Amino acid sequence: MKVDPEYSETFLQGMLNVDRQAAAECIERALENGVTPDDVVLKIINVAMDRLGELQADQVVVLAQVFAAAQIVDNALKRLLPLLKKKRRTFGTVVLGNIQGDNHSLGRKTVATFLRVAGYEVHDMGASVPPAALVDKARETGAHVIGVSALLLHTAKKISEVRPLLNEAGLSHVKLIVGGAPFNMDPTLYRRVGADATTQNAHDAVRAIRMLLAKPVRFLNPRTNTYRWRDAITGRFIPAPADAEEMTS
Amino acid sequence: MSEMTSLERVLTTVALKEPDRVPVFPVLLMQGARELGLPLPEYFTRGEALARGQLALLERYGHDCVLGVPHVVQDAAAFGCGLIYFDDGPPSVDRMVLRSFDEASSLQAPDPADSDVLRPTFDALEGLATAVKGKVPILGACIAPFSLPSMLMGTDRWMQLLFESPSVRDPLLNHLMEVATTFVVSWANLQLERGADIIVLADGMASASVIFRNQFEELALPVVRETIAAIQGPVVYEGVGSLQPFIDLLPDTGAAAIILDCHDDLAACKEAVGDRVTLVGNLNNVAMVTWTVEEMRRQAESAIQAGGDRGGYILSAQGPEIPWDVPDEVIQAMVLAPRVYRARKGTETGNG
Repeated sequence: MKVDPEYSETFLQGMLNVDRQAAAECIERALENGVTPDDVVLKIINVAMDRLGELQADQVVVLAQVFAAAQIVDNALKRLLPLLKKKRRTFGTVVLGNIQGDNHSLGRKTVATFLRVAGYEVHDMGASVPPAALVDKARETGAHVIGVSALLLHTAKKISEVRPLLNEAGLSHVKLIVGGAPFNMDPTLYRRVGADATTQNAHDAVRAIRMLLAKPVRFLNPRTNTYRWRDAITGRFIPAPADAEEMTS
Repeated sequence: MSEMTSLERVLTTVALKEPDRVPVFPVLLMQGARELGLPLPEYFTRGEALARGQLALLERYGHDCVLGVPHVVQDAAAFGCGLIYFDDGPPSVDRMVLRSFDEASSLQAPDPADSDVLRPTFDALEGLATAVKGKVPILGACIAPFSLPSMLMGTDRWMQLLFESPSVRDPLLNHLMEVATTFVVSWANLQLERGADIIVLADGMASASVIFRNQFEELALPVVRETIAAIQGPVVYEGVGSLQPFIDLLPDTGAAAIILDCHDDLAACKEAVGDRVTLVGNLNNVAMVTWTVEEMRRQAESAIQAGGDRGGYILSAQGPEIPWDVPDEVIQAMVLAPRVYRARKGTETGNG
C-alpha cells in the first residue's frame, strides 16, 4: 500500500521540533486513515528516521535532538507493537552494550531505537558489560552482530578483548561494530580493537550493519544492460562489493 | 625579548600581548603516576603524590602549567556519586546520585570545604603553591554548573529535562542551576585560595556537539556568565566538544580563554574572536596515541600558525587529558614546538 509521504514529513518535523504531541497525532491520524501498523513503522517512522540520520550526518541536528527524537520513536513503537498482526520480519540480531567500565548510555540507547525501527532484533545489555557477557549473549541469541559503545579511550581499549573471545567460542562469523567519541576522533582506532566497522551516529550504525550482513546478489538491468547489486536479506540496492570482479568471474 | 617565566608568558598571552613564545599546556595528569611509579588509583587519591607527579613532569618536559586537580569527576563524587578507577585512564562516574526528577528537586549543594573526596585537591594545590607559586601557573578545574547535573542524573535524563515543556522544565532547571552554581563558585574560589591561579570550567553539555545554539543562549550562557563573574580569578572555559558554532558568543562571558575541540577550525575561530579572548587548543589528543614525533611537530606548527604567536593563543590539546599511551617523545615534541617555531622565525627575520 502506498503511504502519503506527508506523514513521514510531519513525523520528521515532530522529531526535529521535539514536538511529542505532533508526532503522536501524526501516527494516530495515519492509523485512522487506514495505514497498517506495519506500514506506519516501515513507511512513516523508518523513512523519517532515515532523513533525520542524513541531517545528523550533515550536522544540521545535534545530539540532544537525536536523543529526543529516539524517545519520540520509542513512544510510537510502544503504541504500535501490540497492533502488529504478525511478528515483523527481522534482518538480523544485534547484541548491544557499553563496554565494561563505561556508563555513558545515551548513544547506545539511540542506536538500539534506530536498529529496531530498521527491522533488527536488538538485545540491549545496558551499561558496563564485560566482554565475556557480550559473547555469551551473542551465543545465546544467535546474534549476527555485537555493537559496543565507549565514550572514553581507556574503556574503548577494553573492546579489544571481544574479538578473541568470539573466536574462542567458535563465533568468528559474528561481526563486531563499535561507536563513541574516541572512534569518531581516531578513525583507525576501530581496527586496533578488532572491530569490523565503526560509525559516527545511529543512522550510520544501521547502514554499516546492513552492509556487514549483506548478501550481495548481482542481476542484470535489461533496460540499461548493466549489472546492479541487491542485498538478498533486505532487498535494498547496494554498491558493488569490493571483490565484485572475483565474485562475477 | 628576554625569556619569561611560565606565569609571565601565560599572563602576557591572556592579556592579548606578545609573549616571548607561545605558551604550551599539554594536559598531563596520569603521566605523573608513571614518574612516581604509583598505580593510577592511588595517585588520583593522594594530593601530595599528585603534586610530586606534576613537579616531576614539569622537570621532565618544561611546559607552562601544572595541574592541581586529579580529575573533574570528583565534583560529582562530592554530591555522593560513586567513582570507578582504572589502571590506564582517569576515573569515571559509576553510580548516579539522582535517579528521578523528584530526587533532583530536593538536591542540596555540599560544602566543598567539608568534602573528603575533594581533600586531595587541597593537598595538591598547597604542595604545588609551595614549589612553584608565582613562577608556573597552577590550574584548578570544576565541572561547569550547566553540565554538573548530567553527571549526577545521567546524560539521558538531563537531556530529557531540557526538552520538557517550560512549565515542567524551568522550576527544576532553575533549582539545579542554583545548587550547581553555588557549589561550583564556592569550590572554584576555594581552589584559588589554596593556590590555584586559573580555573578551568569544563562544560561538556553546553557544546555545539550536544545542544542547539538557541538552547545555549537561553539555558547555558546566562549560567556561564554568572559563574565566571562570581569566580575570583581568571577562568578558562572548555566546551569538551565543539564550540565553533557559538564562538561569537563566548568573548563576552568574561572568560580569559576558550579551549576549542579538535574538530573546530582554529584559524576561523581566531578570526571570529579577534583580540577579545585567548584561544587554547586544539590538537587531537586521541589520535595523538598514533602520532610520530614528526606528525606532532607538523600538527603543533600548524596550530601555532592558525592561533598566532603574538598573544591570545596557547598551544594545547582539546581539553581532556593526554592519554596514557601517548609516547614520551611525542609529548616532548609538543612542548618543544613553540620554542622551535620562535627560533626559526627569529632566524628568518634576522632576530635569532
